[in-house]
Amino acid sequence: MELIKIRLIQIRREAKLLGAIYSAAILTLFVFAVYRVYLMYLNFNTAAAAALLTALSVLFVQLTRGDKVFVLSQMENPNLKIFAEYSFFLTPFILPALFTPHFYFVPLVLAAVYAVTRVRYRFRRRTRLSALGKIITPRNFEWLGGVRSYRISFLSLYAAAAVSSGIIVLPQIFLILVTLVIASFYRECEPLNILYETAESPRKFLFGKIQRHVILLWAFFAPVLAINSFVNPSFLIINAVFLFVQSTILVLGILFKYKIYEPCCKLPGNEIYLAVIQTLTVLPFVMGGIPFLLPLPFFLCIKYYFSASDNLKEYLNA
Amino acid sequence: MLEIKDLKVSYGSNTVLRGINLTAEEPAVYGVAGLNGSGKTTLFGAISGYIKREEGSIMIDGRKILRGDTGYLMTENYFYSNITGNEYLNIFRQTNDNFSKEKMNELFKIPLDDIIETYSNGMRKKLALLALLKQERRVYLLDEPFNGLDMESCKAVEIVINALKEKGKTVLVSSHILETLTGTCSKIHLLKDGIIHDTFGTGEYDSLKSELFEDFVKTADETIRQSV
Repeated sequence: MELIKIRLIQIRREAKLLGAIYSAAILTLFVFAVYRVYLMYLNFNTAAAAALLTALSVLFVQLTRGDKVFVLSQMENPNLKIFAEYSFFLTPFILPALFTPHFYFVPLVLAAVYAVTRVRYRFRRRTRLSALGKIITPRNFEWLGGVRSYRISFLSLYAAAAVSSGIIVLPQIFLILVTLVIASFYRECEPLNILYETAESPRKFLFGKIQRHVILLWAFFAPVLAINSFVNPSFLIINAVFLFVQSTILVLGILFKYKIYEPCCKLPGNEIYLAVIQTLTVLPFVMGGIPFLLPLPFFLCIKYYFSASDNLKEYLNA
Repeated sequence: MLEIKDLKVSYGSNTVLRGINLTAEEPAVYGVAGLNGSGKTTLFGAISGYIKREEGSIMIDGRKILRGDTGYLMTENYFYSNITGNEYLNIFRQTNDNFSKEKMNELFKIPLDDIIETYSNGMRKKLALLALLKQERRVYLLDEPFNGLDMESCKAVEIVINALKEKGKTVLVSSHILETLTGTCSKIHLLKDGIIHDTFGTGEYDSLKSELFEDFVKTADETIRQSV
């Protein structure tokens, strides 16, 4: 029960950090996922897929969990405790199967989960994209760490945008998603020695960082949008405005980070917030709607700049 | 000259530093000794600006201390995720012309091309020390610099401290292992109950030992012998 108790404490803490609205949204998604899994168990083929998916997900967790060495070496009956933990959290996903014709998948999944708890192998962390430091300078550490952390989503979405760069609207939609992935780069707060290193005053610091990171964004987005404008000349102005708005969304991500910056802390995600702004402002514009909310990110940037600057005064020689 | 006057720091209602007065008149190595929880890390954090001070002043050569005056090696260092040791070092501008990353790493043997998450605690400490030495500072604050290091690296840190002293720097070193301080420091300040309780010169380290441990050893000896 110890592991379950620890996880419940962690979940409670995360929910508190996320706030009521995000927690409610996640809970809704969770309920929806449980219902979807129930529907999958109604049909043999999808039930088999659901069971396999569940077992594979547990295997992935077992292979990557950071506390495995501790649990296996320090706790009594570690396999049983890990099994209890997995079973507890899987209950909402496997229990509904009991009310379907394919209820026999429940013991099969549980047996697979128990087998998984015996897996002691652990992935060793490796340096991915080791040459990235030659393209992105270390002073842009958010991008260095971020591209490595989110390499699959970042690179696949960017590749999709690049491949579809000749088509109308599609590359812009992919680039909107790339901007949201980039916004996740700003979820980690650097230690103070790195903060001190970059600039003396909040103003210099923020402007320097914004300038460097907007240039990086342009380096990635401009080629795609240039091809798009070349193939579809009527999109030239739309693409120029699109690039400007994406830059302001990025700036918003940076300012949001420093508005609540605390050394060495992980910040709550701002992607949902930025996704709402993207949906309200950029999407209608690209899709040919009336872009009356287009200046919104720009005004939010001005508002956030002052609160970010105030927060940084606490840490820099203001 | 580093001059700390009436420094007070609290965490909520818990006052950790109750009025620190400390003067480092000439460039030398000064030790800060104290038991766990005595406020050594808080003192270093306050000097470097990492921790907000409630009251008091910290001056260097008659002016207010600035962020760039101090180099701070923390007990446990935090690094940004998913960056390599090399990338971490390259974040910092080199202001110490004598520093050579390659030469230093021949001694420290850090796998600089790997991401920092794969490093052991000792390697992390050595990496933080390299970043610190890359930059020229007036005052160096080394909080438990020997923790987690192997014997060779401990010796290397000892040499680093002595070299900084020879270069005319003021170095403040904290440790809860007294022997690591007595070998390097010209004065040791004893931090107790949130104040500098006493200061000991090189000839007075035996008095420091008895000040720190005498009462404790008497009680501990009896209790431990009964329990073991």
